[in-house]
Amino acid sequence: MVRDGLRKVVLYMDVNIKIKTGVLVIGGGATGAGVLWDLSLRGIDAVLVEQRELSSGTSGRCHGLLHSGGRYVVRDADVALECYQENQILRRVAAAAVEETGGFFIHLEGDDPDYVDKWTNAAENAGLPFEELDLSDARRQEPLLSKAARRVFEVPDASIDPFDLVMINVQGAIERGAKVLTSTKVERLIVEGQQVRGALVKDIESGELYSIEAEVVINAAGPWGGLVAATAGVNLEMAYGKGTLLVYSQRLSNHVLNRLRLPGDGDILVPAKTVSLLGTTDLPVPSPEKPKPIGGEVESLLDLGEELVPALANRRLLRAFAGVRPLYNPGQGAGRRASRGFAVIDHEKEHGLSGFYSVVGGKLTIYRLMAERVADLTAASLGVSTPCSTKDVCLPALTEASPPQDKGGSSEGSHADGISSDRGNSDGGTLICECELLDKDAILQAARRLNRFTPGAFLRSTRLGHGPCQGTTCIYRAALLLYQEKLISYEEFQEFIKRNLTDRWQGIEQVLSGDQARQLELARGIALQNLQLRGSKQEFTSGLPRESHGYEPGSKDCSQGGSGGLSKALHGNKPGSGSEDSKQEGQQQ
Amino acid sequence: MIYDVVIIGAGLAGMTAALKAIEMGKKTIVVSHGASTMQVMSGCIDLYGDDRNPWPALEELVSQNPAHPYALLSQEEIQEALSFFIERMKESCPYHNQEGFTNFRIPTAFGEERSTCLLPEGQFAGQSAAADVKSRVLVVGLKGYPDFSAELLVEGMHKRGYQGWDAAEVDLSCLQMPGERNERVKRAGTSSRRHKGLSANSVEIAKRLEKSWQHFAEELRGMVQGFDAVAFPAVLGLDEHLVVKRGLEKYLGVRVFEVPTIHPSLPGIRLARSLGAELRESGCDFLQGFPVVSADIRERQCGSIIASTPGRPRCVRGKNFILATGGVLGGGIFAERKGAREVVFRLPVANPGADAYIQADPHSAKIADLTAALADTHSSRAADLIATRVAALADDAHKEQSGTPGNRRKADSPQFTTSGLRHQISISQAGVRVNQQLLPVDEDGSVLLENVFCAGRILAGYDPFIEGSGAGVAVSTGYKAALEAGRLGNNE
Ligand SMILES: Cc1cc2nc3c(=O)[nH]c(=O)nc-3n(C[C@H](O)[C@H](O)[C@H](O)COP(=O)(O)OP(=O)(O)OC[C@H]3O[C@@H](n4cnc5c(N)ncnc54)[C@H](O)[C@@H]3O)c2cc1C
Ligand SMILES: Cc1cc2nc3c(=O)[nH]c(=O)nc-3n(C[C@H](O)[C@H](O)[C@H](O)COP(=O)(O)OP(=O)(O)OC[C@H]3O[C@@H](n4cnc5c(N)ncnc54)[C@H](O)[C@@H]3O)c2cc1C
Repeated sequence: MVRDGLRKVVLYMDVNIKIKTGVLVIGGGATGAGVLWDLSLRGIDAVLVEQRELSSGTSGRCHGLLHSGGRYVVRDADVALECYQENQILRRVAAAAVEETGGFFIHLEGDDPDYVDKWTNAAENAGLPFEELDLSDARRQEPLLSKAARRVFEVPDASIDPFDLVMINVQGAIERGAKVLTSTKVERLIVEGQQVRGALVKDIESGELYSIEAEVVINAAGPWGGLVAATAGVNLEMAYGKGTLLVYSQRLSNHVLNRLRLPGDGDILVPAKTVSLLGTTDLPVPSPEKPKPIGGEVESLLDLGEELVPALANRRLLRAFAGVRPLYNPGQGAGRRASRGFAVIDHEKEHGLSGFYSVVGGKLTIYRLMAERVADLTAASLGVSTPCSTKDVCLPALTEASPPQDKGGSSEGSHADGISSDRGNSDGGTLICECELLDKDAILQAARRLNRFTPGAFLRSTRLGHGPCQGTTCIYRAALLLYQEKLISYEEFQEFIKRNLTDRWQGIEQVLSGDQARQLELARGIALQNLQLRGSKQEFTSGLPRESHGYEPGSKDCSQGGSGGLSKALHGNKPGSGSEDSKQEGQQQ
Repeated sequence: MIYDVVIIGAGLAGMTAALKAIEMGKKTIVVSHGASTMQVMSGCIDLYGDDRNPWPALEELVSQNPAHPYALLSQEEIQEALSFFIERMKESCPYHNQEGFTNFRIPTAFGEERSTCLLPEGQFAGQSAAADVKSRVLVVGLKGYPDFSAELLVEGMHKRGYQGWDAAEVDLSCLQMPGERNERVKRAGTSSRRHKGLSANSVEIAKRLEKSWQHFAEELRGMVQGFDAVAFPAVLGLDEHLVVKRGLEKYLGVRVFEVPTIHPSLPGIRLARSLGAELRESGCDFLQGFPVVSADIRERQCGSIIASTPGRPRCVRGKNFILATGGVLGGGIFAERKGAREVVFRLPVANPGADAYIQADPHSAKIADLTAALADTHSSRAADLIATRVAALADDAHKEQSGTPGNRRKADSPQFTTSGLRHQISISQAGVRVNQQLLPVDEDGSVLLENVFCAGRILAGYDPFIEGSGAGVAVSTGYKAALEAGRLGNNE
């Protein structure tokens, strides 16, 4: 109701909406979410704005490795130690997002043996725990490990889900009164004299411009941090390092597998829920916008990954995607040599602008520490003496019925009612996505939680279409459901399906082979034949090398080629099962 | 035992070929690995394109693209194949066609319109409903069946001026689907939440309707007054489809038609089952469930094929062979990172769609970007990668500038593949190249195998989805393959 009132003001009187808050946090990645949580624990009133959806920046595009520090220990012991300490803290306070997989560092035959000694020495000096395993023991724990493995060290790496991590931070903060506005972009900071007073923001969906007034503004915009600061005339020297990751449809290892050598491309495999992520690469790019994997990167990842885990060659690749590392590097270049450390910049000290802090660089693993540092400065400048408690207070468990991300502070009562009445429906449990096991309730709740429905936001929050079938059927089903429930119009329905089908293609074109190629043919048939989607035919072509000749007879057993038939394309490779055991699974049902 | 004709693949192409071979008096066997594309298709046999009369466009296609599968047949042969198909399916799975095999227009699940050439009986009344803007049609959705929305279809029709269409919903409980929901436990990896049930699947519903369609009709009776026709998602029975459909029509006193949705697709499944039953009755042998993995070839003659059966591989001997293993989806072609292979005979896989989808001029901009990146990269690996790519792009750009007009034909149509990668192109037209007898040939047109005929989606040079030609090509080339195989047999 409040919201309607506000809207009317805009419509009829053409005045800007004003939100007043203590602190404005810019950026809905791990860092921004962590800052919001930290501030809320100190009782500081704060609003977070995110230009797209939560985790839509680098956080949602990262490898999800909660570093033990092992990767950095040779080059930068301080960063390594920070990682280790944060790793230990997050296992405790963010348990809902962490999976304690443990990690292996693996020395392969042919890799520089001197590096092994450097590494063990550095780890010992830094006080990072590690333990050398018996090779046979390591093999038993990781059957797919390369035969070329010569030495294996166990470290406390873990797998962390960045989406869940951001969600629980935000959820916790909202419970304590913080506000979150997604699809809200900071156009420019409002500067009066030598002081930052807030920001002019744009509601991306409606195009509305309005201002948010704040005593302190925190720039946690990740790789966009430089652009945000520039709107206040401040020059932050950022470098952008693009990294590409490959997603496999199964969990291929129990531990995080790291190659023990000078950090390079394609040397880490992280098990994450029902999939595995292989990465990464590092290419300098000119801007943080729309990173895309390029062919050469994918090829080289595939080759390198197979060195560590040869079985990757015949596992199903779901897609490739890329993210941009926010590197803060005054006076240095991008690339892996750029520091993984972070900086909190007090712009009053640096540039004579008060009420403005930037937190830049860093890693997901140390997001909490980054948040703590900037929140300390903020609290001090606001005269709040409550110390940081994010080390000790546990984040809430992830609840599916988490509170709506509130738009402008109004509560959407009608929607809440809708959810509960739906619960009573007899078919509330109808399964919409069989890969991610999402039922009707889960889909509707997710849709209603969004303060503004967009296909991208919806997909990210539900993970719909991220399973082995890549949304071939569930996207259609979910769209029908949303249409039936009047959450989207006829036109939006069509747009939704079209966009999602074409979006699926983007990460896939680079990894097209085997079952994935087959999946695409099916998806193409469904879109163009069964659904007769218009105006998109040219979009639905799929890639493969141009020239290819038959194999020499007998050169390779190709029974594998025809295996699985249609059923595999229809149902995907179910998580946790190789194609070999799919038969057995069928029997279990 | 030596078969006259050994058919590999039980899709529409292979089954049509088998029907014809049997009719010609040949001892025939169909060897197939699994189910076919029929499980997912709408049952409509598309010929080509959206024109009311598709034949002029088809003629133009064939003259412009002599490598297209339709170019391997005369128009008379295509019509002969379609007539043969209709004739043989008359009893178990009847199809309708228009004079001269022109296109029908029928409504889609979105309330839009699609064209097709042969319509299964279940969908037939849809075309008269769609032919008249004043038609009054009740579209019935099923509560608990998530793959169809009556309201959506009706809204689409309204947008196109069909104001007499209306939506209704019937609860599936009238089909006596009591609280027997499957409990399903979540699989590996994540939590072990339990879900109340699977969504009702079209095949389950179809089977239930066969048993209790009268209850269903009862439920509907009061609703249909004033309508000319009633539309349902395609779930009206499986093997007893005609009984259910005709029964409903009689009981309700209106015409009834189905609108296909997504898989499992009953109209296609019915077609597959009818074809199978028809063939078994006429004495065709089947070896099902095992992939054919290789063949015994001597002097361009195939003597036998090897199916990978458990224990000892099984050898099937024959005089003539028909390769109807489908494309990437059917399993006949296996795409790999560095190429594609035809899985039975290792025939070369041609990819003529390739040049058609090269983008107009993404190169210069990309080269500039990459060169800039190269300038400040620190990693030598990355630098190498970028340099290779720049070279590849430059190469492409050069080729395109000097390319023939034919190569640039579709250059300005929007292209999905944004990567600009040299070797990234369409696989939608990938397949085996053949001559007029449907015998596989190499790039120079020399015959590779003299008694192996290829039919259906395994053929190179067409995109069934973009053209709307899938089942049409399968039926006509399957028919022709059998004719050729039969002829060859006679000569011996
Ligand atoms: C490929 C890759 C793999 C990685 N793997 C790991 C790993 O395994 N472990 C690890 O610890 N770290 C990893 N990292 C690093 C880690 O992902 C990042 O350091 C971290 O996610 C940064 O989080 P952030 O919140 O600072 O930035 P982001 O997540 O990018 O958040 C910034 C947000 O600000 C928003 N924003 C920008 N401009 C505006 C504006 N004007 N108005 C409103 N909102 C705006 C953006 O939309 C974005 O959502 C990886 C990085 C990459 C690229
Ligand atoms: C979703 C979808 C909807 C469609 N809708 C329509 C439509 O509405 N109208 C239309 O005209 N067309 C449609 N099509 C296209 C049309 O269905 C296909 O082009 C056509 O059915 C292909 O038939 P086929 O017999 O060549 O191949 P397939 O149907 O793919 O059959 C191949 C057969 O070969 C077998 N096989 C493969 N490898 C081996 C091996 N190594 N050993 C033994 N057996 C093997 C397979 O198991 C299968 O039985 C649709 C396609 C799809 C995917």
